[in-house]
Amino acid sequence: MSFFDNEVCLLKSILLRNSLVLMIMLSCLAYYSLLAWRPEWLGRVVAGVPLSIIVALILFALFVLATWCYALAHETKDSA
Amino acid sequence: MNHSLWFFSVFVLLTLGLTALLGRKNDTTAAFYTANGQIRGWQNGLALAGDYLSAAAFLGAAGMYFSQGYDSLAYAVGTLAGWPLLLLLMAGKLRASGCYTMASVLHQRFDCSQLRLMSGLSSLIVSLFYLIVQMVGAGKLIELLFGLPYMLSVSLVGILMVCYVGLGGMLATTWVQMIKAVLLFICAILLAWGVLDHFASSPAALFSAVEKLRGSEVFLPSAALSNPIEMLSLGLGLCLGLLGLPHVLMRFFTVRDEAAARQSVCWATGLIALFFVLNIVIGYGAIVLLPAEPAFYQANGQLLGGTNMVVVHLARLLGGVTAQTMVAVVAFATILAVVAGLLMAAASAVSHDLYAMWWWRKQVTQQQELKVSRWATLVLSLLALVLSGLFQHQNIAFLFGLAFAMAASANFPVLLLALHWSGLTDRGAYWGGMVGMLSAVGLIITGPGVWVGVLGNTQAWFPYAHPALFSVPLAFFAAYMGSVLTRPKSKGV
Repeated sequence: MSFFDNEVCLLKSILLRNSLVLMIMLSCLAYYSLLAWRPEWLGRVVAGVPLSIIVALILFALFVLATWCYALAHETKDSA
Repeated sequence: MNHSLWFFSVFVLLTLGLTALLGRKNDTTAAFYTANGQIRGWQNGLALAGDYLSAAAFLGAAGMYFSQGYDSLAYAVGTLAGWPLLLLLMAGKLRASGCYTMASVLHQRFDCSQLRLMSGLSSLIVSLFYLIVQMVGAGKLIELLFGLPYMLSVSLVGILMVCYVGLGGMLATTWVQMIKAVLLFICAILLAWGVLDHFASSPAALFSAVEKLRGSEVFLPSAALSNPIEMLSLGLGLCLGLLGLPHVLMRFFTVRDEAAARQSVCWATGLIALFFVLNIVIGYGAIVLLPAEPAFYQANGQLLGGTNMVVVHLARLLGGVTAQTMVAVVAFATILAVVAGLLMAAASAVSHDLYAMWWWRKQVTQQQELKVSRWATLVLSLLALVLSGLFQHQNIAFLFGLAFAMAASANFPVLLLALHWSGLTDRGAYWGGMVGMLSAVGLIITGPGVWVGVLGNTQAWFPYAHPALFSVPLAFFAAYMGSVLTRPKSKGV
């Protein structure tokens, strides 16, 4: 791998890391802001399951995916 | 000998035997604190989940669903968010640094005696507070099962944890945590399955029954979190607290390399998310199923053993005495495993950060450090014992939130800046750590949780129970100002 490729790879890694951090922080901020100021927006029921629980489950999935996505990207980079 | 005592005895003897066996390999400080970095990624992930899913996650969370409904899930979202952040911001860099305590990480960048003292004390306070949370859970559990007085129950746990950590070190602690994690998952799956079985395996039917009993408000934050500032402060503390917990950070030094550290976090995040999903079913199931059984209630309408014992009663309802005992043993194992990890972190803060690095400036032998570590284990257990008496009537999930707020304020800002900001100076790190620690401790003591709940005053000085929204920015600001004001001026071109 050339010096240029290495730099691009490093830049991509930092970009991915920062985007994921931003996404997680923003989603948490949105979730807690919603609970703090507009909890009634989560009071609906979708297919028998309260929306507040669905939102929490979506966030769980998001956090797990973010973790796996970052680890996988690093594994690919390491093997390259 | 009754069922409970028999199960407890078998579990304790088996784990003590394992501890004694693995403890023979602890001839160096690296073996004692980090198992020589020989733990595999998936094993460390399982141990991390075991270390993290404490009495608060198992007993306290279900108790909180029962008493405050959705609040428990709001706690779960924040704590899970900490895991990807831990991976993205800390795991790789920490493992690459080769240091196994926060003080060592700071020492690698700055040679400052005061900073070593501050970071050692900060790790110690956070671990000790977290330890109290676990001791309260253990005391309540044994009190309920064997009818022993609370303080005697807590003392028994104290003796056991000294044996686990003093004899076993990190390798034995890891194995106890892995075994406990497997038992905990089996238990949670069986409980959730048992609950769903009552509702024709339909979560929608379960939620509908909960709504009929408690109304739709049970799926929204309770009055305890109705204040927006309180809610945001709780969220911030939970998200960032994990990144400052010494016993979690320490686990990254037990694996071979950065890739294994990343793999550990992936395993831990997946497992913890799964556990939180199971907890939703268990917690809301308890709301519907327990009120139908008057045997679980005292004459005054309070649940036997308090709301922290919801899971134990639910197990009795679903599977009889045997299931109750199994759940109690798993809860006990949960506490012992977490307590062992916490004591490891607290003892290393005393022996490594304070004794070896600050007091003797590394002029001590490994054997001396190990000896101090074992004595520290004993003294810290006694201290946690006394303090757990003070907090025995508090919900453990609430106490857990406070421990997170302390970690988020005292440890996280300094550690993050030390790993990612080249402009941080030793003064900046010291100011940030001190301000974070003092503001978090001060606001917790003067807040309603301690000032009113523990000390019995009528009104709190600080109106919010969770201080992170104030203490974390203060710590960052102090670290920044300290760095900017004390940075040596460049001579110019």
